[in-house]
Amino acid sequence: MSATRSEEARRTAGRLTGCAALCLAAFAGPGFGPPDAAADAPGRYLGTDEFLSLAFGEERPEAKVLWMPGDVRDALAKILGHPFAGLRVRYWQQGERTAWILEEIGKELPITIGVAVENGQVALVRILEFREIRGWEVRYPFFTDQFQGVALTDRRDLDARIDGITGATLSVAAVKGIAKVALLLHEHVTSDEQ
Amino acid sequence: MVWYRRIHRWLGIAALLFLLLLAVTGIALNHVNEWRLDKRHVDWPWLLDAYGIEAPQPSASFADGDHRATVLGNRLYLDGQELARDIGMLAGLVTTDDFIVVATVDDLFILTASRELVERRALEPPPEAVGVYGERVIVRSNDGALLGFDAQLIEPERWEGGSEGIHWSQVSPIPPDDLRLLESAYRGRGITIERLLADLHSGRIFTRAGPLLMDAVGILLVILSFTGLLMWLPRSGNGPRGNRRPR
Repeated sequence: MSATRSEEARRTAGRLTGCAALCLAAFAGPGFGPPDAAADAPGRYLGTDEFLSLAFGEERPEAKVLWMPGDVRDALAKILGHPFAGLRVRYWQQGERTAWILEEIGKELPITIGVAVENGQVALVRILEFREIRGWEVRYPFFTDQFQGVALTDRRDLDARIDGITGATLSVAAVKGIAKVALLLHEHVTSDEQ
Repeated sequence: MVWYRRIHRWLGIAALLFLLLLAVTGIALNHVNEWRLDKRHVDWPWLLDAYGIEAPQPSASFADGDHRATVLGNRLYLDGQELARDIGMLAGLVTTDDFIVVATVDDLFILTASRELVERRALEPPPEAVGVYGERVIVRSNDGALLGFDAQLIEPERWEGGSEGIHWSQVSPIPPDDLRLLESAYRGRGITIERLLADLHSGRIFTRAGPLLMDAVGILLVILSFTGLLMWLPRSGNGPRGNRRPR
């Protein structure tokens, strides 16, 4: 190899090495330190009583039980893509507001989700417990606040777009499914009363 | 031949098979949900043996009449069928005319006599034991309190009748044939295709040396990138290195 080519090759190698070192330094720097594992770990974030306090304030109603008729269970199965687990479901109601604590599988384990519905629209969504090691980002308000005011369309879809979270596709789908289930069940119990 | 061309040529051949493996498994892993690779399992005995997947010993088993509840690992089985996962300790199993009740330290599973799930509910404080008094289901919580359920098992209330006359669920040794069926059910799901692909992609399937081998392939790709770039860079007086004009 001539001196000119050798020198050029060395300069190129040097520039590339410098770029690689800069990239590594950027990722290893303080801005990219390890996350706070304790704050972001799966676990139980909210108890039943706490959720119901958020939903109803201090005057918490007594729990009721809804035995789901076949047509409702069929509708839930269509929403979730699998049979709904259970013949009955527990809920709380005060006036036009109902609250539901339901579970849906994310990837392999159930996520416990609380949904409050008022006048046919979601009033509150909270993740009570998350059991898997990935996808727990759905617990944060930036995600759950999107559901406020959302209702069901005639085709039983949510009437607003819910932005997903990269790496939490299945958890996002589970929360959206449970929001639809809660809206449908709310519709059923309030229309029965009417 | 220029030295970097020689390196590029031979390393390229050496990396070919690994690159194909990385590419194929990588593409499949990008489509896990659409292709349901996390829901489909492989249960080849030799593969499960290689993974060391063995059914754990049952942690507890309770029986009442024709029904038996057993926990294997963290899976709850009722009459040989998986009922739930991520289960802690089993507290007992009782039956009434209309219901089957399985208590764990976390939840109460209420099923119809034909094993259709009615409800799974958490109890506070957690149950320690479950029994029956006539047709009423009684739960003893871990603080010693007794709770009695109504006939529909909807809401418990404090049981004032004392412990006398309550038939508490007792641990029951599981018959060997039933255990074999449970072990087969536990092992039978095997591993997901997603997991197999991920282990192939990372090299973990090739035991401890596998990840190191894949690291070496990664370094090899870096070298190939540099030598490829050197080949692409123009040389003084000649155009791109790959198009050397004859003199």
